[in-house]
Amino acid sequence: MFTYIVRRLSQMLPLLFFASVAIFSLVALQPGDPLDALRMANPTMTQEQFEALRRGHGLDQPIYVRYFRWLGRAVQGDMGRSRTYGVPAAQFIFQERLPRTLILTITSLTIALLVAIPVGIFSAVRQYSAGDYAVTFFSFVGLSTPNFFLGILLMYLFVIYLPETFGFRALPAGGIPNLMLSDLETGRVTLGEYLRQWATYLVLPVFTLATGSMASWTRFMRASMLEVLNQDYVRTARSKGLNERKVLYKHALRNGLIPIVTLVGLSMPSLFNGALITETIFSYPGMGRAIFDALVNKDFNVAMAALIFIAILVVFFNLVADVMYAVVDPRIRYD
Amino acid sequence: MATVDKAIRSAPLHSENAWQLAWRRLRRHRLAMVSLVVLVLLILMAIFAPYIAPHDPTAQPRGAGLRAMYFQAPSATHLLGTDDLGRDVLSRLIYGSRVSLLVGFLAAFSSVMVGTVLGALAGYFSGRPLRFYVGPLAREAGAWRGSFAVWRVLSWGLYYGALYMVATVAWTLSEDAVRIGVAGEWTTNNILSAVGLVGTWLAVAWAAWRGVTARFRLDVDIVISRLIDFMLTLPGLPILLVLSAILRDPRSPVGNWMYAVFGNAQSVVIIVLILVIFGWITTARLVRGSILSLREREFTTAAESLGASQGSIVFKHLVPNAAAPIIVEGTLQVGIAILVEAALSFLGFGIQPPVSTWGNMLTNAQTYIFFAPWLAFPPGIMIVITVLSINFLGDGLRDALDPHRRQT
Amino acid sequence: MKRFVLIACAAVLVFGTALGQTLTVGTPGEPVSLDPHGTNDQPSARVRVQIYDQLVTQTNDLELVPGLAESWTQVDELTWDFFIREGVTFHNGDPLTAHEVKFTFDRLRDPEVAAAGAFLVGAIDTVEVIDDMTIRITTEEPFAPLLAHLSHSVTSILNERSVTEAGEDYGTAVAIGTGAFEFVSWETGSQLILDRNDDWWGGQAGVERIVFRPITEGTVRSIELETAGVDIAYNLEPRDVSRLEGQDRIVLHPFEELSAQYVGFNTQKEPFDDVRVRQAINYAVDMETIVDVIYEGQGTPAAGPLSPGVFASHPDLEPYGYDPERARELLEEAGVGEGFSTTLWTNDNPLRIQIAEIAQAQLGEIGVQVEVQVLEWSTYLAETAAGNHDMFILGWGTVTADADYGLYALFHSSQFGSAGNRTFWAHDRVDELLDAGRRTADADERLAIYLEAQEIIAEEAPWIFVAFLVQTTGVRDHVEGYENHPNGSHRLYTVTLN
Repeated sequence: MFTYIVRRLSQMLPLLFFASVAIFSLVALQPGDPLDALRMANPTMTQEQFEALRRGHGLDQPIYVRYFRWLGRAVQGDMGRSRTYGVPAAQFIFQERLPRTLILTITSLTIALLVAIPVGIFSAVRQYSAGDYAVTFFSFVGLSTPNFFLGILLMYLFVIYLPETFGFRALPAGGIPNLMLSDLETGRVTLGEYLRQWATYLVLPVFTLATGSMASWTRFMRASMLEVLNQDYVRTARSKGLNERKVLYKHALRNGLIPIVTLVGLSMPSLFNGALITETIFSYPGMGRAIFDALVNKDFNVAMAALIFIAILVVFFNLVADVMYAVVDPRIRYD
Repeated sequence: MATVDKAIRSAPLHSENAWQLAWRRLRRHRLAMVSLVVLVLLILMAIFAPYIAPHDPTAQPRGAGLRAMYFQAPSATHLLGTDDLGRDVLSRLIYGSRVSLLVGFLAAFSSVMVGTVLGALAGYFSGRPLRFYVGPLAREAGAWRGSFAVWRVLSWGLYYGALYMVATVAWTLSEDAVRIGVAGEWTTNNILSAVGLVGTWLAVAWAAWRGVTARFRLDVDIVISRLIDFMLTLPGLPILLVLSAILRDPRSPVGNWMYAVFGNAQSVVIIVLILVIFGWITTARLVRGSILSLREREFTTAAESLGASQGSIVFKHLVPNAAAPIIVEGTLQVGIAILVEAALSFLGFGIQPPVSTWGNMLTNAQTYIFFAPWLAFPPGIMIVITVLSINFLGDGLRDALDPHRRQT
Repeated sequence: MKRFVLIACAAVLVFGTALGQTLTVGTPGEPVSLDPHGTNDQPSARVRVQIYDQLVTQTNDLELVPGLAESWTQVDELTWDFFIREGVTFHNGDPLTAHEVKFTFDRLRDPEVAAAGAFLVGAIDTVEVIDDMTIRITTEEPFAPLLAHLSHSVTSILNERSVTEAGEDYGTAVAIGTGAFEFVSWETGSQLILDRNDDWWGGQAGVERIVFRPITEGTVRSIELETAGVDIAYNLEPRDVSRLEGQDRIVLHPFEELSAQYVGFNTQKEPFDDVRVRQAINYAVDMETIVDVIYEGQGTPAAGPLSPGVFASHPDLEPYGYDPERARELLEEAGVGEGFSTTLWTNDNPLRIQIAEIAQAQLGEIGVQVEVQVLEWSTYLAETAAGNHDMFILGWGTVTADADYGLYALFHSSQFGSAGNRTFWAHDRVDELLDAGRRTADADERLAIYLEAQEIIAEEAPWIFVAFLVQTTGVRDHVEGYENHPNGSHRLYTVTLN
């Protein structure tokens, strides 16, 4: 096991190197110049001044020179500054955007799991019942509904239709509340008010985001429970006359959860990824938008900091998922 | 050879029956059959769009006092109303199905093709490294035979080209520091750069010398599996957006070329292309797994002992036996491709206006949701119906093609 | 328990008073930097005008009144003396002196700093400290619009110590001015907080705290206004304005923008090198429709290049009007009666795309086949500056409200490309007039010069003159004393909350 982990870790470095090369080149190859916005803001800038500015930013160098310069600083922990916001890229990503995204993604992950696991078990235990068909049908609908459509529907229902019908508007159309943790500490707002405000801003995006994973995890949970329930040891346990509850929760559930554990492990990076589309619809300033805007504005340092961070997480959680798999399923051995 | 093939085809002989059986089983799957009918209707609608659509999808009203003609609520003349430019929503919806379905099927088909080929190669050659490089003066039996001879010469170019690149990159990176150093200013940084440069050049020289007589073998499986790992570290949506921007830019060399070759179809080709870049992975993994187990079966050994070529073993015997999951995967990929295309168009990086797609119709709908909520429902519902049908059909196919599964 | 109740009471008290004094403003864009020598963009300017002051202040009526300079005298054609106001201190306590002013202008003009707004002081030759409270500015040539330029937020007076100490952090973590509000904190994408400067030389601002919240989506911004998530919402979109009209808790403040929207031709490319073709296209596009449909009637079709609010804007120009017959005749005369194909570029601004699509349909009527291409912003700027376009859509904001700013960069032949003249249009008489306008100090003479220039430009039509827009700020009814500034950088010290 130990050697396995070491081997996997040693494979991570070249993988991350290639990923960073690919990401850097793609960002650099985008049409337009990162300094065009400066040029636009200053009508009298001449081509010579512009070239001088490009030299100053090192943009006249070939891509690979720029890449290695970036790499040289990055391995020393210097991710550079955001060209758009002027703040250090690492601060922007990790202090400002990441916490906000985690609030959104972890809430929806939790809700999705809390719904998907019991519903999946129910559906598997009552296979071919009306309830099972309903669950199956709705999880298919959930899987087939793009979240941008769902988001727009929710927006229409809760922000337009219901308020206009009942003359009362409870939910904002997007954004985040203008409260900070420091407001809580200094007593500018009460905890209840703080939570209430966040809840009103989060409910629609969380629901939009949770639906897709809820649907697919329900299906996985159902399938994996069905498989376990058809295993010999479960049949044996049943035939021994064990209480059905005990069979279910003691024997079946533990094994049925294994694939879900893996799945959740593999979806961890997407928590940090943010949710570009949901964030776009609800104007939520999270990682998804940060990465998108950085790419569009060619804000190299921010884009690289965020994307490399996510690549590391993907590789890391892949490993964690594999190791967890071995831990929960004693039949699997890595050598 | 033909007789060999014919003899071995008897291995999946029962397949004739299997397909008929599958079809019988599928027909009993009610949801799948309804979905199939819905899909056929959608495809017919796309094909006959010009005859069905009541209006020209890009026609805008003209003349004075136009305001009333924009954002019309649904009425008898415009069953689904008109949009922000006074165009008929129903007609745009019908024409939109063309792009969505075309992109969905093309992308899914190409992804599955690419995935199958790569997955099959990885699976079949796993643990059997292929000759990859045979140096100009290396001695190896059969190294000049058949198509390998061409590859052999090509591989020299690749090998020495790569070495040359490494040498130049090292020089460009260290040039300034080394020049300053040579001029007499040996700071730590300059010394490190110079050492790095000399080290790299020595390594390159050694590799060039070794390359003359070297022979390398390469496990295709390792290459493809690493490639998959690598692709999975890239965040999908942002990368797709960037690729789309690069390929669509008419002033970049690639974009220019795309435009020259594909003309107005260029935006569809670009979407399909970038969908395939991430779309092949699931199929490849699936096929690799099937082939790994199939290649140990008797009929493979039989074919090998009868002297069938590796290509024919992989593509005539192994892949057809793995067809069932590939077909199911292909069906599901259509749904995924339609969703991703819609998402890209929604974000403004897909098919460009005035061509309508369900995705870009939704973008518009979001902008005007307050004034014209009826714009949002039709394209969204069409996407849901299409993808739902595809998923039900895929589910039905999975049940029908897998003999071990119980009927629902 | 008792203690808990006490704390709760205290919390309620603090909560009640503090929130009551906070003004929340929803803006469409995130500021880029609070360093006036960083970028020159409106979202930043809107925050900077609260933090900083300039030598000259431009009032909401576009009058130029003393700011940090208590008074000034023009020594000769090229030389101006400014007398600094006594007793002004920066937010960090440093007193304002002529040295700080000199530092500001030197830094603004420093090529190393590469300030985006440096062009505004391009005419300045030297800045000298006469004594602690007097500064002398000389220009290379007579430059009539100098005072207007010195009122621009780019020329805000900075504090040397804080700029030097903060280094790279200046403008993001640190911003020290003399203005009515001081910078507190900034969380990108979420909020930027300013607190009242109780020692402001201009009096005391009406609210204790301002929170700027960037909310990009127009509709989201308007809903935040409805749900009282913000007290003031800038740049309401035309369609949201129609929805909010008549809501009793919301007051709308419309004002005419200083900017012009236009479709530019590449006048060096065939067939747009022919004035008749350019006029034909002006006749063929129905601006009434565009204003009506796209801007929901929140504007007027443009007759010339300068918005009515700008100094010397021509009051009597007539818009071309919609006349497809005349357009066809003109194309016939120009020898392209059978029509031609061309491309129209726009960036991915939804309103501009809509303009492009309407123009596309209407030009199709007179046989001009237009292909609309949506380009990514920076590509768009670079390519139009390089002259690779046929037609393109842009806007130009005359932030100083002076005709020179609104015409020189756009129509003078020395300004080809990124400088502003993206139509590559050159006209000797217009060049002469624009040069003369810069030199002439007398207001009436300048007026006559710019009127003539505008007549020529309207006739020669290097643009399709699209529209002058009305911008609307939405304010909740408990906000009092709010007034728009025509350049969009509204000053908020007059606002009080009820």
